[in-house]
Amino acid sequence: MKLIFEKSKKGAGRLNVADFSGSTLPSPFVPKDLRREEPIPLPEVSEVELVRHYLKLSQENYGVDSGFYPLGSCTMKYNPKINEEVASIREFTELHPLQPEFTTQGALRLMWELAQYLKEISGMDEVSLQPAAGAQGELTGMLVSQAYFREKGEERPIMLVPDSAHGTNPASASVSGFKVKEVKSDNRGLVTVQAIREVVESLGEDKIAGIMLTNPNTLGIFEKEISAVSKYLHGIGALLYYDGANLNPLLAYARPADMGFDIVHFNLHKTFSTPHGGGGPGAGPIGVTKSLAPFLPSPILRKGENGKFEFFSPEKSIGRMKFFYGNFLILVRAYAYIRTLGAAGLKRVAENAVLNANYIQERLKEAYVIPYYQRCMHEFVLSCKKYKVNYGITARDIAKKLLDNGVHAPTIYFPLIVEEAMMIEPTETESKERLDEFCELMLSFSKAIETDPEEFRKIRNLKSYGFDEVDAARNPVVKWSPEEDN
Amino acid sequence: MPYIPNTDEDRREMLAVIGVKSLEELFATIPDELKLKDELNLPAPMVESELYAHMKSIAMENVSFSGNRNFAGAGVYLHYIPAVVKELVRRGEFYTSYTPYQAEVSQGLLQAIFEYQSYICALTGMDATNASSYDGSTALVDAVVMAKNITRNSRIILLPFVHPQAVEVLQTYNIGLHLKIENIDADENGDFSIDELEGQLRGGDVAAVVLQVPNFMGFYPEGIPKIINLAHNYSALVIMSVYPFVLGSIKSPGELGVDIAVGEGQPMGIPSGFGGPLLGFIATKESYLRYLPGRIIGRAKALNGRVGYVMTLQAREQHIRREKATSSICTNQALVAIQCAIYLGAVGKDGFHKISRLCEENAHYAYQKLTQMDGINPLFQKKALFNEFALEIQGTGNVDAIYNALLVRGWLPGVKLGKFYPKYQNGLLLAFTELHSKAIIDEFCDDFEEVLRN
Amino acid sequence: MNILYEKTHEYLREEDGNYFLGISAYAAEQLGDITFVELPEVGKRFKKGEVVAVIESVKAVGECYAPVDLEITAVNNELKTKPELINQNPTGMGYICQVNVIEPNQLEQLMKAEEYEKMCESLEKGH
Repeated sequence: MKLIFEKSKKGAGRLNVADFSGSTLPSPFVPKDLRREEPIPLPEVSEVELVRHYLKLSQENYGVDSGFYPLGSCTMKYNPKINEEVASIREFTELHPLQPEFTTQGALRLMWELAQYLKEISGMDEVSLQPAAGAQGELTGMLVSQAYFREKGEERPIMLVPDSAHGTNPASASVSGFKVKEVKSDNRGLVTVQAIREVVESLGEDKIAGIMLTNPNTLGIFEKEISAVSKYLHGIGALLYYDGANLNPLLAYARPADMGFDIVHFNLHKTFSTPHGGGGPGAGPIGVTKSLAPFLPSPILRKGENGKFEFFSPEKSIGRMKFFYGNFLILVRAYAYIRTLGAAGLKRVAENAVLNANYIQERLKEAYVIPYYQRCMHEFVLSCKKYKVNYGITARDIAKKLLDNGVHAPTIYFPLIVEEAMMIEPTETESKERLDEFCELMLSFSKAIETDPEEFRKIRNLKSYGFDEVDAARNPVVKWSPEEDN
Repeated sequence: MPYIPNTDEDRREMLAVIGVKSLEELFATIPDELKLKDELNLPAPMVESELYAHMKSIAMENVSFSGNRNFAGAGVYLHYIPAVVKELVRRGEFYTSYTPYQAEVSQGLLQAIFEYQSYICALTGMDATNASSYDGSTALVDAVVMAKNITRNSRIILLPFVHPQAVEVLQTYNIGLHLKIENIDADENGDFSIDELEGQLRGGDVAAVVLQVPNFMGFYPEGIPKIINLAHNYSALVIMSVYPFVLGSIKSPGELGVDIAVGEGQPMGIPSGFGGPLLGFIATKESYLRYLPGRIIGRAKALNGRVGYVMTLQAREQHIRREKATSSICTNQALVAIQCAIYLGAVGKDGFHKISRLCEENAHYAYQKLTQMDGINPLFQKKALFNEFALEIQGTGNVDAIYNALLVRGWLPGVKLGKFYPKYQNGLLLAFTELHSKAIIDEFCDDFEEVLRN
Repeated sequence: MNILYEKTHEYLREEDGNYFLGISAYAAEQLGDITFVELPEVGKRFKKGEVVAVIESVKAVGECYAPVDLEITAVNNELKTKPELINQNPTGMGYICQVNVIEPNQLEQLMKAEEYEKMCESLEKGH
C-alpha cells in the first residue's frame, strides 16, 4: 500500500484546525545562525484521504477485536470498551501534570486507590505507579535492589535468572549494573533450590543480589518449590524479584508476597486489560516489601491527615524513572477494570484463564508433544519438533498456517528451553466455541502433515508467507525518502 | 459475568474433557499453604452505568483548564488535537493488537510506524529513528547510552537548563550506567561560558555534550553551531533535545550537525493526560543506526515481490541479546507514535509551520505585554524565545499570591519555577501555543495586571 | 593448511606466518544468515576469552572470542557490505580479522580440525 508521503498533493492539506493566520515564511524570531529557510517535507493530504489511509491500514492489521489471539506470555485478553470511554473523560485527558495538587485531587485519588488495590492483589507493602512498561518496572526493581544493597554496604554484583526467563529479565538486570548468571531448569521445567544452590555456591553466597522469577513460569507451570527457594535465598541475604507477566492465573488465588517475593512488577496491559496498543503504551507499576519501600522512585502518593492526596519523595529514593507520575491514562483503564470486576470477578478471571488453557492442552496433547506436560496454569508450551524431525515442518510453518486460517499465531520459539516451541495462552475472554475452532484447526494440521507433508509445506509458497528479513537487516531502509517519488 | 463468555454448561463440559471435577482442582499445583484463604479486600463490583458515574465523579474532583486558559508547559503542552486524530487512533485493529511479531497480519501497524519513523526523520533531519521510547526523558537516557557505546567514553556534559526531570531520570539510570555526569552552570543571566565548556572538553573521555533547544527556560542557548563544532573537535557527540514545533523555525538538528536528536513528542497530537502516556523520540545519523535501542521497523520484500514492513535489526534487542542488550525496552509507545503520525498527516506541511509560527507570535506578543507591567521582570534579559519564557515576580512570596489569584479567575498561569530550581523561587514559566489568540492573551494580561495591583 | 579451533567455535588459520581469525562453519550454520558483523579496532589487544567481534543474524547473535591472547593487525572490511561471506566461506573469505598471536604457547591448547569435527558431531547428536 502507498505511503502517506506518496499520496501528498501540493495544496491539498489545509485542515481547519487552528487560526491559520500563521505564516510559513522563515521565522523572524530565530537567531540567523539557526533559522530554517526551507519548510520541512511533510505530506499534504486532504482529511478524507487521511481517513481512508488509516482505515485501510487498520484493515491490514489483526487485533483481539479481530479474533482469537493466543500469543503466549502476552495475555491478549479483550479490552473492555467502557475503559476507553472513561479514559477519554476530559477532566482526565486535559489535566496538566504540573497543575497545583489541589486541582488534581481526582487523579491523585484514582492513582492512590489503584496502588491500594495492587498492594492487596500482590500482598506487597508499597507501590509505585511510575514505570511505563513491564521492562521499565523490572529495571526500576533492579535499581531499587542496587540502592538497597548499597545502603547496607554490601557488594552483591550477581543477579540470577532462570534459562526459561523472558529476555527483558537479563537485559534489565544487566542495564542496572548486575552481572547475570543463568540457573538451569530441571527436567520438569522448574527452578529448584538445588539448582540455585549449585550456582550460588560456585559464586559465593555474599555475591548474590537475588533472582528474577516469573511464577507460573514461561512454561505455564507453577514453581512448586518457590517457598523453599525464597527461604534459601533470604537466608543468604538475597532478594526475590517477581516478573508479573504471568500474574493473570493467580488473581485472588495466590500472592507474590506470600511466596516470599520482595519486589514485583505488574503488567497492567496484560493482567488488567489495558490495550496493548500494537506495542504500547503499557504500564508497569512495581510493588515492594517494607524494607525496600524507602528506595522506590520519586514521587509516590500518600493520603494526608486532612484526607488530601499528595506526592512525596521516599526517603532514600533511587530518583525518577520518567517524566511525571506514570502512564496515567493507562492507570485509569486498569482502575476501571478492577472496579468493574471486584474480588470475585478477578477470581473468575484466574479460573477461566486456567480452564481455557488446560482445555486446549488436553485437546492437543495427543497430536502434539507437550514436553513438560502437567496441569498448566494460564498457558502451556507444545513442541512441533516431531514434525520437524519427521517431515521438515517447523513451528513457523504451523504458525503461518494459522494466520492463513484467520487466527493469530501463538508465540513461537520461546521459551528457549523447548525446541520448535509454540506457547499458547488463550486468556479467559475466549469462549469454548473459539477454543474448539482453534483446536480443530491444530488437529487438522497435524493430520494434514502426517498424510501429505508436501502439500502442507506449500504454505511457504503463499504470498503471505514471510518477508525477506535477511535482506531487510542487511540493507536496512527505515524511513521514506523524498527522492523515492521521482 | 463481565468479559467471560463461557457459561456454566461450557465449563462443565470443559472440566470433563480435562478430567477434573471442579475449577479449584485446576489449581492443585499451587501448594495449599500459598493459597489465599480469604477473599481479596477490594471494593464491590460495579455495572457499567455505575462505573461510568463513579469515574465521572472522580474526574470532576479535578479542575481542568481548557487549552486556551492554560499556560503551563515545562515539557507538556496543550495544542489542539483534531477530531480526526482521536477517531482514527481508536480503530480496534490498532489498539487491541500487540508487537507485530507476525508481520503478515500486522502490515497496517508496521506501515503506520514506518511512516511515523519517516516523519521523525523529516522533522529532525536525521536518517534513522526507532519505533518510540517511553518519553522525552528516557529518550535522552537512550541517547546518552548510545553516545557511551559509540565513543566508548564515559563523561557526559550537560549544558544549562536541560529539563530538570530529564536530568533526574538520567541520574537514576546512571546507578547502573556508571557515567560521570557533569553540569555547566548558568550565570546570572542564564548564559554559560563557552571557554568553560572547552576547558571541560579538553579533559577528554567525553561521550556527549547535551543541550536542549529551546532550553527549559524557553530561550535558545547562544552559539549553537559553535558548541557543536567544539564538541566534535574533541571527538564528543552532540545530543540535542528539541521541542517538536521549534523544528518549524530552526534548522533541523541533522543540518546543524547534531549526532542524536531526542525529544518529547506529546505536543504532536497527544493529550497532556496528567503526564502520560507520552512519546519519546530519538533520531540519529545512518552510521549510528545499529546503536539505537528498541524496535525499528524496516522495509522488506515479500516473496511475491511486493513491498512490506517488518521489525528489523532485532539482533540488537533484549529478546535476542538478553543480558548483552544495551536496553531492556520491549513494550514501547506504539499507539502514541501512530497518533503522532496521524496528527502530522492531519496538520500537514502547511499546518505544522503555521502552528509553529503561531506559537512564536503568541509567546512574543504575551512577552511584550507582561514584561511591561510593574512588578514583573524577565527572569533573563534579551533572550531569543520560541514559545515559552520565564518571568520574575518581584517581592518575596508574591508569585504564590498572584498564581493563586489567577487560578481563582480560571487561568492556569504557567508553572512556578521554585519547585525545579530553589534559586528561582520567584520565577514563573509560561508557555503559548496556537490556542492562545491575541484576544485571550489580552484578557489574561488584563487579569494579570489587576491581580498585580491588588 | 594449518588450522586450529577453540571449543567456542572460533578458528585460527595460519598462512605464511599470518593468523586469520574467524568462526567455524558449524557456528555459522547455527547462526543462520548473517546480517552484520561488528568488527574490532586494528591495533587492539584481547586476552584469551574476550569478545573480539559480534556477529548478528536475523534472529540470533553470536560472539567471536579470542582463542588466545592476540592483537588485531587487520580486519576483513569486505564483511561490512558482504556479511554473507561468513556463511559462504567461513574459514576463507569469511575470516573476521588478522591477528598477531601474543602467547604462542597458548596455541597448544587449541584443537586440531579432526578433534573439533568430532566435538561438533557429538553436539549435533545431543540436539
